[in-house]
Amino acid sequence: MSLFHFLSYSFMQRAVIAGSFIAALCAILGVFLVLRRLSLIGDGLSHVTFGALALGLFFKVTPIYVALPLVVLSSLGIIKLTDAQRIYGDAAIGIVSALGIAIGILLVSITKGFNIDLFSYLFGNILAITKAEVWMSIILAITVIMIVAFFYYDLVVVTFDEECAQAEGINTKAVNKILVVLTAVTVVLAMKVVGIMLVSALLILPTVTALQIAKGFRMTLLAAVIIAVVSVWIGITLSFFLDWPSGATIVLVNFTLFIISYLYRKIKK
Amino acid sequence: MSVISLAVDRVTVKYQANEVLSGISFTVSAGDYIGIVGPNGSGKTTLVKTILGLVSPEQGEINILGTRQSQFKNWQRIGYLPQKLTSFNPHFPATVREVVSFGLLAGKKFPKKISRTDEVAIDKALALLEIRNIKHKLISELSGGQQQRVMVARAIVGDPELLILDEPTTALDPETRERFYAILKELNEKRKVTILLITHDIGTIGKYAAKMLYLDKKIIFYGGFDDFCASPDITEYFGEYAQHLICHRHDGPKNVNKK
Repeated sequence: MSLFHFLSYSFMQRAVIAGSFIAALCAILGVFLVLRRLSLIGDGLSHVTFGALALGLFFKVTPIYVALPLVVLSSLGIIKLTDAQRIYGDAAIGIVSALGIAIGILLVSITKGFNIDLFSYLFGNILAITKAEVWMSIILAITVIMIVAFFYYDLVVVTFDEECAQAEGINTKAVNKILVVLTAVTVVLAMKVVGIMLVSALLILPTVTALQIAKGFRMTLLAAVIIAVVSVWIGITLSFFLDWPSGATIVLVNFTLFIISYLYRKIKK
Repeated sequence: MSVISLAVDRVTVKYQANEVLSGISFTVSAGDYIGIVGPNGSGKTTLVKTILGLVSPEQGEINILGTRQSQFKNWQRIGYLPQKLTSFNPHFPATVREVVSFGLLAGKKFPKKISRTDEVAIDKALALLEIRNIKHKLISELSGGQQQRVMVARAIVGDPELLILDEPTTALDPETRERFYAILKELNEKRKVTILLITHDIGTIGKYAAKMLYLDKKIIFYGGFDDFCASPDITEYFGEYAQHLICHRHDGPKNVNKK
């Protein structure tokens, strides 16, 4: 029996395909978010996703259909709060994040019976991803990647120096909105891969690993995507053979690659 | 008659109740080299940010390169170097070449691309700032002086008609600073770039700039360095001794007021 026999299972094929697309997407956006010190926005929005999913399960609506618009709206809310004077960006993320968690906990506590569903969203299970979810992941991932490609240079210039970009006539507010909305969509998609609790890891870890080894912005993006996708492949494989939870395994593989790249850089110095 | 590059007309800027600039009016002709000086908190940075549209004035009007600021769209005709090198992320993983290319993107239509002509412009800017040898290095690996040169290359790569620099020499050692001023002079004289430069270094800028604009929430003085040294307004403002010290460093004017 071949080592890659496990890939003949259709659920494994679905997991690898959807996981690769979502991981690549997280890595691309993660580079922009980490460099702008906005990486915790992923964490904040994943907490909103928790509240939105609870709402969906409460009203018996497919959770993702509730989560997508609500998380996108929350991401714009964070931008609005940050623009308001006297509220710092991290505090704005904290406000929206706490609200999401509070609503989620409230709905879970007043309604019994859907806690098991919510558990699968909290910790993710890509091995249980459906065909429809795979298609949705692919379509949304390609759409988001195309939008990033279209606005690539504006995103890069604003990430490098927002004040300069604004002085050069770039609509930095619009660019910021595009970035957080794309992040919101990505966070909702990524919850199936690693779960709400670990979404921010998919945004942060491939980038910080790439930053240890890559030279130049394009190389960093490319390295982050490769690291993210390879982590998903290794994570899913280990999860299959060792019967480990897939989300946590993917994150631990990512972390291991980060440690290796960090040590490589230290030794190279 | 000379072409007016910039006209600032009765501009007042307030941060909440605090008036930072009060009724500022001046014009800059094409090809001028203006040194903007003044004490800390005098509104120098606010003035250039207002010109660039980053700060909205309470009152007044600004005309840039013949167009009212509210209608001005060709921001790529202006090069800008902000006050602190820390305005950008020092750990950003871009190479020198990539950073300089950012200066060409503002005027482009979507989807933006770096063309073959842009590559030539990038090479020229790198050569002018004498940083071609480090073009493949990461910006984070450079010294403060080298980073400053990269940022100037970014500001000039689009061949701007007006170049605005906010305290560009703070990270530079004296030798590099002199070389930097010489490069600006070359840009001004050979390429006819109009320059507005904020600095605390009045003596040095006096050697290079054609005019000085002394700001302290309002304009205290606007004119040539020799006139600055001879101005009774400046004598009254600084006191005779301080004025003499400033002008003495310049070694130029022989007509410092001595009462």
